[in-house]
Amino acid sequence: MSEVSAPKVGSKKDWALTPPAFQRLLDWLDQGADSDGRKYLEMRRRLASYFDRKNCPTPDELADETLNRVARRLEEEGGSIETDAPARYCYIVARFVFMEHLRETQKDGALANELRQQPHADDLAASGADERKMKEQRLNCLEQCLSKLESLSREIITRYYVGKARVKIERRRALAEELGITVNALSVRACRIRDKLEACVRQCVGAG
Amino acid sequence: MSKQLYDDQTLTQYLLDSLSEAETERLDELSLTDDEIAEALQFVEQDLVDAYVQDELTEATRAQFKSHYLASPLRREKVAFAQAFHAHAEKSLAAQQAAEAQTEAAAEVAPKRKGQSWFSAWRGFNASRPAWAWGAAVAALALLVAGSWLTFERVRPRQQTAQTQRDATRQREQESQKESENQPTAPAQSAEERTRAERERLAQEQAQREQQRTAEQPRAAEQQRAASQRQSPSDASRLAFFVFAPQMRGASQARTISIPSQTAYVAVRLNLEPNEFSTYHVALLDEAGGQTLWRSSRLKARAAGGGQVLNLSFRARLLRPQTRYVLRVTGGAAEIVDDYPFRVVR
Repeated sequence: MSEVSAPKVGSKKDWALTPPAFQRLLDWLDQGADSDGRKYLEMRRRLASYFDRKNCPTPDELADETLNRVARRLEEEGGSIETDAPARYCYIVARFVFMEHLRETQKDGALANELRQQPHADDLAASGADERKMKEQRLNCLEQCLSKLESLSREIITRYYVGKARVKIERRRALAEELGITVNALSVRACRIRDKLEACVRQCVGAG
Repeated sequence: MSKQLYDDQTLTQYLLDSLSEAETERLDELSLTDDEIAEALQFVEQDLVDAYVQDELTEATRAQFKSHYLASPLRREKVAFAQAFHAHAEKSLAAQQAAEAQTEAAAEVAPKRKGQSWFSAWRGFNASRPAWAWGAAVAALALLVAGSWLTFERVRPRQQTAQTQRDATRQREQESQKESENQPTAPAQSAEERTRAERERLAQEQAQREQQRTAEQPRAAEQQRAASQRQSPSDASRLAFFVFAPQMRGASQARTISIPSQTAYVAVRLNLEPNEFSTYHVALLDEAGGQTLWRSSRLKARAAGGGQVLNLSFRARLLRPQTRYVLRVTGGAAEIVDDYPFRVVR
């Protein structure tokens, strides 16, 4: 990490993300091309995954905190940060946010360690009946979400992930051939559909 | 470390927190800054979760998965989704297979009944007419022997794997012929029995040959299909190749391309105008309806003739004659780089 690009991201509790600041952030992430907010959403997803891989208990909040700090810096700099490309600058800020988070949790008493040592705490807490109910609800949600997909997407997703090992590979090859696309292209398509389905199920289970 | 070194195995180790600190830090950065790595991580993570759910991980990886991956509620949620999803998929598959098995069983029952009634009728015919049964049986045998011989001769080139069986059949047929020559001196009852036995044996052999041929058909078809697939991309007669230059700004003239009727694949080289992108997607659009008929995977441009080109190919059957299409090149987050309109004639 270069010294030049070290961000001025000290926590300013009174700063709030305003609509113009948010628009500036979107424009800066797009770098001149209007992605209709897709770049922002993708960066937020990547940041949340980054914090989740670091076992932070609130990855979404930390992703938002990172993007807020970037937006504030953009406001200070007049809408552009020249030292780094947007994604790299976001990473630098995310590292700072992570280290701050780590310091706070260490102060609070080794919460991170506790999380690592009790990976199934939530599962164990749930009684057998609750677990069954939860599974049932998830399956219902899955069926609902599957029915909302376009028929081709539904067929792809149900056929792509069926089977094990060699059988799975053969099925995927046959499906790709049927669709007239490469297996790689099929993987991308299936992965996207699954992401969509997973988000739908998560939302449905949360609402239930 | 170059990012090319990050194969699926390394990415899996990264997700399981098994890499060195330096490698982890490098991948932390790339997971945010590099589109390809970010995408690959998603694939690898799905595969990893699926492998856990389907019990395909090694013991060591499974232990690492449990101790690290399952430490996060968000990731446990991914596992729960995968469990539900696979349970649903397996259920659908089982239902589909049961329906197929039922259809097959129904199809098998009909010819079997037909065969049984034919054979029973033949036996009944002999039993009810003892006086001239012997003569009829000999005539039937002669016909069967001749028929089998002709069938045997006709299918020989295609039935090499059944050679041994056929040799045995021929030997028996020759024996039968000799026997039939001696028939007038043999008692009527034993000739009838021999004829019936011979008929049964021939019917059995015929059924065995049928069964073997049926079993071999899908495999032969699969081999033929695989061979044709291997040949398709390199078979010059089935490949039509075109080079498309970027359109002049403001021009709306679509290029006309002629595709011979036997063409299986259309290969296209797109000459790109200078731009800032390193990777691209190309979509084939039906110009009238704007419908996407085909979409490439992520493509990298190659340097050629002082500029950059994209090479791609798709199935010719996607194109209809007298129809206008557009090959749309996009870069980055789906930004349109250029359109290559064309019209097809056959």
